[in-house]
Amino acid sequence: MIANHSMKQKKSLINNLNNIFKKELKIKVDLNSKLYDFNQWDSLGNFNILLACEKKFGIKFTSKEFNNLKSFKEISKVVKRKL
Amino acid sequence: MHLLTSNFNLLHSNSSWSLLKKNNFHIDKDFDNFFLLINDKKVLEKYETIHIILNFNYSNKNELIKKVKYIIKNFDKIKNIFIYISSVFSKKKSEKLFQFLDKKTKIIYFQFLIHKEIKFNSRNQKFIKFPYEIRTIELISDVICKNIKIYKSKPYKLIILDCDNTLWGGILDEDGVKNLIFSNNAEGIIYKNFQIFLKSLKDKGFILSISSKNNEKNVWKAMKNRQMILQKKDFINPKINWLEKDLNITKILTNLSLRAEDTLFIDDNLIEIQKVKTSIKSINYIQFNKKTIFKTLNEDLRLKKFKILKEDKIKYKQYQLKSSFEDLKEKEKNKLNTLKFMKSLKQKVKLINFTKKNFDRAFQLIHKTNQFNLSLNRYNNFELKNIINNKDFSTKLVDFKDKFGDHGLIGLYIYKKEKNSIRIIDFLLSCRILYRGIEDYMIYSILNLNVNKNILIDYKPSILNNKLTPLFLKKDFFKIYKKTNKTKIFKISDSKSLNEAKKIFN
Repeated sequence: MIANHSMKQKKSLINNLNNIFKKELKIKVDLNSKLYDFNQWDSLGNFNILLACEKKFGIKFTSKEFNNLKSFKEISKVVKRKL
Repeated sequence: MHLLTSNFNLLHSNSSWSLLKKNNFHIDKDFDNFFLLINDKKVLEKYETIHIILNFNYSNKNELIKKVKYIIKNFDKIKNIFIYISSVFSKKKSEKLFQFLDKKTKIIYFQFLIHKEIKFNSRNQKFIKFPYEIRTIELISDVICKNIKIYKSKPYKLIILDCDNTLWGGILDEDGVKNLIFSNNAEGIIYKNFQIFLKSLKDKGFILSISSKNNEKNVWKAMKNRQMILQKKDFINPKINWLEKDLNITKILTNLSLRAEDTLFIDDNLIEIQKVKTSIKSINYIQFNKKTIFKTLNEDLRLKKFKILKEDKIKYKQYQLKSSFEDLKEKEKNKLNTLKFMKSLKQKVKLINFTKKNFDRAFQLIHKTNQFNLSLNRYNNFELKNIINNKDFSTKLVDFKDKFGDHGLIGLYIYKKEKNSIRIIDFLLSCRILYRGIEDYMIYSILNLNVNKNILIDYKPSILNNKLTPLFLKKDFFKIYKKTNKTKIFKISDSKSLNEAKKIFN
């Protein structure tokens, strides 16, 4: 049951992140996507993604995280921890 | 299109700007780009309004203040620049810092983003040169959208006021001058502040008038003896008598040639309001309620005006002139329209070219004149400049004086020159000086300048110009030439009444 619940949570997190990429950068990403894989995902695009995550999930990235999170995996990992 | 620029990174692609983007905004991509942009003439022409957000901090304040001063000095005549200011300084220090903005600028509109609402974020400043929390974008968007709404709304032209329990508390006829509620404290201050507010509207070019069931002499006495903010001289064409208000208001509207749609009626008595509303359906009204009046006034976008042109300021005088003319007309009813009467008005018309100096007024006339505006073409800044600079077009503004005073620039015409003909595409006159022969004289002078040419004039009927204009087009020098879907074209030829118009002014 618990495993099932956390699976569901993870799925919805990934869904949410996908939507953020779609809304902010108009791109379709997958689990392995990272900064500069797309024209739109440049450094400003990356910041826009992080800011949108903060807004969407009601979390705050530290300065270090803000400057270092650069891939879908890293972002989803930190967001998950902060939820 | 509108433009948003700033002295920091706007994160132009961030989805939080969607509200502004939906409202036809271009968000500047470049960091700290406002000063370059605003110095680019093409940019100024391209956008209807330009919005600049400036964030002041310890390291940029001196340089930014210099730039703002430069903008005020050089761009004060250019319309539609909105500057939004936020600063990291305390409220007190900010006030001191921005003291220089007070009253210096008429056209550029400054707005301070409120300290409490703006949330700064040092991380965002450090990494992306965006000084605020991301949510601030939505707040700023709301402020800007509201300004655009105000910018697009048409301000009222005339405000008609009741006296008892509106301009002051109490009933003059029953309570007497001494007992009226009007003071610096308690209930009295509501009425005092209301008058202060009205006075500020008057200074912005709104016309104030009165419709009140009272004894006229006592009203002026009350204002004078109680040293009220508003005095007799502040009102134009006041109607203070025991007649029904709808009759009085109709009279005011006719005398000043203003439309009910552009008029606001403020009265405390709902029955009076309903009576007026029944007979003058399109009039706007506010029921005076001492508890909510300032909230109501503040929410009414048509009471706000960003730009105050010189013409707005002298408008009061011009309506006063119009009012004196109507009084004279009433006195001399029988002699009306005779050459002798017209001559006695000592009217002088001058046709002048469009220049940089009068461009704003030309633009204003094109956008504000409805009733006597044959084509209602509302050119934007850019289009109008193109017409002025195009040699195929002839453009003139009408300057008018009479024995009552200087009316200023009150009309204009634009015609297109073709091989054997000319076509008048714009012909408009402020309706407060209609029927003084000026409209005929304008036609006469076009004819005189274009002898032996086919002269055509466009009329595009709409609900805005279908009352006075058709009467004009019935005159003997017009003849219908062609009808298309939206435009009626008339041919103009010399006639008896044109020659009469000439006599009035020569």
